[in-house]
Amino acid sequence: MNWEEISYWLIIYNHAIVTALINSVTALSIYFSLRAGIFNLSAIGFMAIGAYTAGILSTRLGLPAPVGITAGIMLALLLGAILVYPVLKLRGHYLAIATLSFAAIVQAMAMNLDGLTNGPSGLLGVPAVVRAWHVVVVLAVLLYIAWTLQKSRTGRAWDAIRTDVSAARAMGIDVEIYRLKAFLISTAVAALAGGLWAHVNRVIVPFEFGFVQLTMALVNTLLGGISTPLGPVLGALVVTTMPDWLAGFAEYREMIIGALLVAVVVYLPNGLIDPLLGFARRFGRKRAVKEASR
Amino acid sequence: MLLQQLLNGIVAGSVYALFALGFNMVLGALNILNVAQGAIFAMSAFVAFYAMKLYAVPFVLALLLAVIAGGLINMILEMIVFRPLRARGGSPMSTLVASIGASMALLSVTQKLSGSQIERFPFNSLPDTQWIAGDVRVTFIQLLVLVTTACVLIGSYILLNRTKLGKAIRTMAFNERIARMLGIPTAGVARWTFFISGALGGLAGVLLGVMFNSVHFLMGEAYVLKGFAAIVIGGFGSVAGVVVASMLIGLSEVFSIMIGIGAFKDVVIFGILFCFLILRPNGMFGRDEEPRP
Repeated sequence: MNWEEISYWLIIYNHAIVTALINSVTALSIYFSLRAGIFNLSAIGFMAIGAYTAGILSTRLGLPAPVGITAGIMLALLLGAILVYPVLKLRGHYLAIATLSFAAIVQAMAMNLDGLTNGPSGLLGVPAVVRAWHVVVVLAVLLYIAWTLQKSRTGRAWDAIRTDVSAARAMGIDVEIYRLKAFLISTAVAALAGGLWAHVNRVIVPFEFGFVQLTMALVNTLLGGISTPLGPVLGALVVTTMPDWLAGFAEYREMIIGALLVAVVVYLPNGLIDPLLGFARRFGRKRAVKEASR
Repeated sequence: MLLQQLLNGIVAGSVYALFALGFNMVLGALNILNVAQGAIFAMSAFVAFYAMKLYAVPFVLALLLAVIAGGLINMILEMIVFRPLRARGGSPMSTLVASIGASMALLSVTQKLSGSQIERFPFNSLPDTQWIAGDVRVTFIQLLVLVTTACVLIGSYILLNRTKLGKAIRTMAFNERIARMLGIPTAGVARWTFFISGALGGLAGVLLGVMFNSVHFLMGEAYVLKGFAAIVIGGFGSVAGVVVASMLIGLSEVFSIMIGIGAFKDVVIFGILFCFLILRPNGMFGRDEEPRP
């Protein structure tokens, strides 16, 4: 494949690639919550808030995209900071349902506040200024942050909380603060994904922020696995581009993904990334042994 | 007018109650939130529909077939998804995610088999008699829904409180390890709990299908979220609570439409749900205990 072919291919699949990249950002948002053991399903709601804020500011007021996206993140953080107090008091299924109902409220609002969001027909004409490489840069920065956090005190605290809340508390970890941190980071990343999406897709419709999309985001995150930030990104890229390399099976996509998800949850609880990393590690170790014996 | 709306709300609430009871049973006994219940709802409605359309089976028999089909599908789901997961000590999160995966696969199968069509039950499959008392009108289907719900409620009360299986289910709901120590065959009880839950889902699916006279592969999805709401508002595992909460949801829907904020009916329901979660996370009838982790 020469350079010309590659650039041609990139142009054809541009939209699929950008979608996959933005889905990776959303998956990272869910990753941050899950990492701290918070089963937070509000990501899709905050994504809608980010998308609508960016869209409304740029179509109504003509503000540049970075301003709109930042405003979306700020608004989401504000709402998240209010939401976080009641929500983090809950556990397990309760927390999942509360955050899910928040997302459902946001979607219903987007559907019905016609004056602001233009209702079910959607907000049209958002300038498509975000390019694939912008999203790649954002993703790289997020991965770097996630990586640093994972190895920091915060990341270790999250791991402890996820494994056993009581034990973490007994070891003197301030569970509430670390959970709050994870929730707010997750909120901001979700709104960022929404803002980027608004400026990629040109159109924002409320149907894109429902239970189905939330399910897909969860699938992306957990299929990849949350033991490293690379997992969700891998999951999102694989699942989103799946119709392209499953050409003959495109109509069985949901069936395959559903079955795959069940298989992964049951047999590979750490996601697809886990055996891959294990393989890489073993390979690396073998080489190290070989080099040492030489 | 008001009485009529009250009746409509209670009928809508009854369907929610049938649906939510199935949810609730699995959640109470096994701490599994089975999202695939929505897919089972649609699948059993299709079983009844095809039985009536292709083989001209009478309605009562079709309903029975659908109920059994719903139970069997749920039972198979338990065997291939939830049992291996429980054996590996899956967290509540992993069971929820596995049920989301199962739900996706089942919905997709239903979509394939039904060709994404919105189907209608054959004309005259049920009598269209109606009774009028004052300004209240009751159709045969509404009466059928009300009577069925009442029977199911009494039945599930008897099942949970009077039978050996019910006692086993309640023991498992209390603590699975203790149940095993007492010699309760937990695997069998889990299987039957799933069967009953699926059967209730199937019953609700067919009734809803005839009530709105439309069967579609996504018909159960709106009910999944409202079923969650009913369970939380009523209190996890409480039969009476879930029924009252379902009625509340049905009535709030009907009355939001009546006072002209119908577009926001979901906001109203999820708003109520949210308030309950914050103020009374154990629900209306829930015991004041620490919520399960």
